[in-house]
Amino acid sequence: MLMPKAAINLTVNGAARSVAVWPMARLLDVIREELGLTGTKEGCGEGECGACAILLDGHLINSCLVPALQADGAAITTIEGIARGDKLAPIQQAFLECGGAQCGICTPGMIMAAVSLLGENARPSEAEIRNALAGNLCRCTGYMRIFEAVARACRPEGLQP
Amino acid sequence: MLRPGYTPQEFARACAAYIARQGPLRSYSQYQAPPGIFWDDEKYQGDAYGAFAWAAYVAEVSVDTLTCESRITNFVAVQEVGRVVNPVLAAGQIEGGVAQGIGLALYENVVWQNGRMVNGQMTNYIIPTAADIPPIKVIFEEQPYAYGPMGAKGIGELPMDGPAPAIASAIENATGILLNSIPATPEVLMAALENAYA
Repeated sequence: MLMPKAAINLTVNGAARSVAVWPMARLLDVIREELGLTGTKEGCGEGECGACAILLDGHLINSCLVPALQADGAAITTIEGIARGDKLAPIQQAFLECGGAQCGICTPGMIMAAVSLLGENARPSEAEIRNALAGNLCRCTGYMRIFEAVARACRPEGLQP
Repeated sequence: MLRPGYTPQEFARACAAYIARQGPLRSYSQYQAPPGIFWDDEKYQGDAYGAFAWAAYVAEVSVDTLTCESRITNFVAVQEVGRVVNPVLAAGQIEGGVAQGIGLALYENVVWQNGRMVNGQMTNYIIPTAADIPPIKVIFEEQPYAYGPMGAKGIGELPMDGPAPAIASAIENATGILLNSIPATPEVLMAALENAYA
């Protein structure tokens, strides 16, 4: 017999949401299909590529690996929660200016990883940027412009995301 | 036959009327080479394509002879792509192609079995990460191409072709081993080194 859906409560990009989920639903699918936030991408679906990265209670996680039930009561931040209204966050603006995005599939996860890094380390070195983004695969850019974007987002005259 | 704002039904009737009057619709078109480009399809001589791009690649590679792991420590790509229309995106295309070429040279091993790729997952088909890519310096040599848009030529494919030979040559320079296949995984390099120095 099919298990019934379970109600879970989430704070999604600052707003309280209640959703009914299948017991084994992945948080990724709940974000995309139940919450309608399709900015978060599925790349590999096995925790290798980082395209589905979000913040769960402030921690950077791959949402393809988290059962939705485990997120009950948590606050999540997705790529849709990074901009301030119509204004891009500095890290997004830097990706735009530096050419940090090409096909765009890795970009939401890359930006979430960069947000997580800059939250912990306001002025990372290039080695620290490389290390922090090493869990996010990019097929198009060769990474150089992504490193440059993260560095530009945290230059002294720029604002912290 | 048709006035602006026609319905799909009117379009279908017009098509039927055309076919009844003219027979089936046939359309012919043929590629016309730009002036100065000649190709002899009988003898297969000349230039089949007008906009060949050119490039030179330099790879600096360090090889750990204990683990047989190769790492690219520096990379320079000099590209002739006609006129560079958008410098940021153009350099991004070259860097991305070089990164794919590095994957081809060192990591990406497609394993076939019964006509299928058996390692088609990110877990077992390894592509370069942010930790694997060296600084990539891109230098453009601009020779505007008269028949390309704003002088441009194609840009995306070439940077995938040259890096692997450059990396294989650098590995030869470091170890004396000229590999005749890629990727130069530690397993392949270890077997070649053991064979050479046995």
